[in-house]
Amino acid sequence: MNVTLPTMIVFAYLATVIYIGVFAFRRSRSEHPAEDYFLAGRSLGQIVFLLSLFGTNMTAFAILGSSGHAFANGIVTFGLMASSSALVIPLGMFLLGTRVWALGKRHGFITPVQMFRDRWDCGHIGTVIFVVQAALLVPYIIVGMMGGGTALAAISGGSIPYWLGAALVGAVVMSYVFFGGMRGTAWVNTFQTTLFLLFGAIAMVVIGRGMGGFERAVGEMQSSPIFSAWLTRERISPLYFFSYTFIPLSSLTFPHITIFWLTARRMGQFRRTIILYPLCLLAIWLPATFLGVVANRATEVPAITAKLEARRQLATATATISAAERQDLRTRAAGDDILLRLLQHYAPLWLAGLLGAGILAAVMASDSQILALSTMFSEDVFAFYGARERFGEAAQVLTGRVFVIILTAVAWLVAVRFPQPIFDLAVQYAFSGFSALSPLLVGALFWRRSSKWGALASTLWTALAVIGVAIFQAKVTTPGVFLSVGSLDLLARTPTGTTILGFMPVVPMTIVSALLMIIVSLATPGPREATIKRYFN
Amino acid sequence: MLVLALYALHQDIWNWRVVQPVVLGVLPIGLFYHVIYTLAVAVVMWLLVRLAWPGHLEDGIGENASGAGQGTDRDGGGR
Repeated sequence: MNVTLPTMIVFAYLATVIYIGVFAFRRSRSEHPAEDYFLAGRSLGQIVFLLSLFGTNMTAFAILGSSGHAFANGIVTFGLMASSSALVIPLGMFLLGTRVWALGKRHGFITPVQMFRDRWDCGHIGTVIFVVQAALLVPYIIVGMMGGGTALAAISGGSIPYWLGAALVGAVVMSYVFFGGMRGTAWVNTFQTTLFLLFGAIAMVVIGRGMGGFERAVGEMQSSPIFSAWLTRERISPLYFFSYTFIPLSSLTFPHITIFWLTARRMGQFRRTIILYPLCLLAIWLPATFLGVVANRATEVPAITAKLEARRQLATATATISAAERQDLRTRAAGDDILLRLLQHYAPLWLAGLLGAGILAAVMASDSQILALSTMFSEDVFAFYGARERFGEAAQVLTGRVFVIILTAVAWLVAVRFPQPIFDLAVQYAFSGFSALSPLLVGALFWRRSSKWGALASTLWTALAVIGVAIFQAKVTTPGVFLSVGSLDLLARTPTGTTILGFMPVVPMTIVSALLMIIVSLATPGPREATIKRYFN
Repeated sequence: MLVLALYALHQDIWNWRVVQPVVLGVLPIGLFYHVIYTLAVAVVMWLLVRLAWPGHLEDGIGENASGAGQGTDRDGGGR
C-alpha cells in the first residue's frame, strides 16, 4: 500500500495542531501569567470544556488499547471500561468536580495538592502527595508516547520507525503545551475530540464495507468454536469484571482532570458535560470495541493473520518456554495497532490518512498530563518553597515550560527503551494507583474529620502497593497461583497482571486506602476548627 | 437509590456466556445490553442535574473570583 498520502495528511494535521498552540499563545494575557498559562484564566466555555475534558480522558489507552483489548478478549471490553466509566466519571463530576471547582474559584487553587495542603493544615505532607501523584502520572505520559510511535509507524507503513514516531509526536505535543499552556491544550483537545468523534463513525462504515458487512463477520465468529467466545464475556471472570468498576475512579483523581475542572468559567458548564459524557463514551468506545472484535475475522489482512498466528502459538506454548520467548509472542500477538491495520487495508488512501490523523489525535491526549505535571511542579514545589516570591511569577511560568521539555524528553527515552503493550502499562500502574488515591479527594470534600495523617497513610499505602505489584510482576512472569490457602487463591499471576482473591489489585488497594484514611484520621487530631468552617459552612 | 441500582445492573452476569439474540445482526446481547445501559446512565445523569443540582456551591462566587493561583502559604493553614 502506498503510504505517502496518508503520511502527508497526518503531518498536515500535526502542523495544524502546532498552529493552534501558537495561536493560543498569542491570546494569552499577562495580568496573571501563572493562572492564565496553567488554567487558561479559568475562562473555558461550554463546548471547549466538554470536548476538551472528554478528549483529555481519551488517550492512546482508550482508542488503540481498547481495540487491542477487544481483539484479544472480545465484547467484554465495552462493559469493562466504557459503560462503567459512563456511570462513575459523570457521577464523580457531579459530586466531586462541582465542589472542587467552587473551592478553586473561592480560594484560588490551581492544583489538587494546594487544596489538600489548605484543607488539612499541612505543608510537607502535601509534597509527599505531589511526589506520589507525579510518579503515577509518568506512566500515563509514556503511554501517549508509545501510542504516538505505534500510530505513526503503522500509518507510514514502517518508513517512520517507532522511535522516530514517538519523538515526532512528543515534539509536537511539547510545542503546543510549551507555547499555549492550558488554553492551547484545551483548544487542541477540542479539535482532536471533534476529529475522532467524526472519524470513528466513518471508520465503522468503511471497514464494515471492506469486510463485506459486519453481519457476515459476526456470523462467522458465532459459528466458530474458537471465536464464538469473543462474542460473550467468558474470557474474563465476573470478579475481574467487577474489579474494573474501580478503575474509572482514577479518572476523577488524575491531577490533569482535577486541574481541568478548575478551568470552567461557571459551574453550570458541568451540567451538559455530565449528561453528554456517557454519550460521547458510547460514540468512541462502541466502534473501537466492535472493530477490535471483528478484526479477528479480517484474515485477508496479513498483519492481522500474523497476530492470530502468534496468539495461537502463545496458547499452545508449554510452560517450558522462556520468559523472553513468551514476551515476544505476546508482543507479536498484541492488537494495539489493530485499528490502523484495518484502515490501511480497507480505506482509500486519502481516508486512511484522515482516519489515521483522527486516531493520532486520541493518542496525543498526553498533552494534558504533561501540562498537569508542569503545573504541579511549578505550583506545588517551585512556588510553595518560596521561589515565586524570590524570582517572580514570570520565572514560575518559564520554569513550568522548561519542565515540559524535560518531562517530554524523559518520557520519550522510557517509551523507546521499554516498549510494552499500551493497555497493560497504563492500567496496572497509573490507573490503579490513582483509583487508590480517591479516598483523599472524597475525604477532603465530604468528611470534616479527615486529617493530614489519614491522607499521608492513604498516600504511602498507595505508593507501597503499586511498588509491590510492580515488583511481583517483574519477578513472577509465568502465569499461575503464587499463594493459596486451601482451595482459596490468595495471590496469582495472570498473563497480563496480578489477581488478589480473584480481584484486580485495584480493589484491595482502594479499600485499604479508604480504611487507612478513616482509621488514621480518627486516631489523630483533625484540622483546625477555622479551617473546617471555611470548607463546610 | 437509582445510582446504586445502576451500579448493580452493570454486573449482568446473566448475559455472561450467551451470544443470542444478536441485535440487528451485529450486536451480541452482552454488548447490546451495555449500549442500552450507557444510554440509561445518560438519562439518570440528566435527572440528577435537573433535580439535585448543588447550586448552593456557587453562592457568593463572582464570575471572576479567584486568588490568581495563590493556594496556601508555605506553613500550611491557608491564607
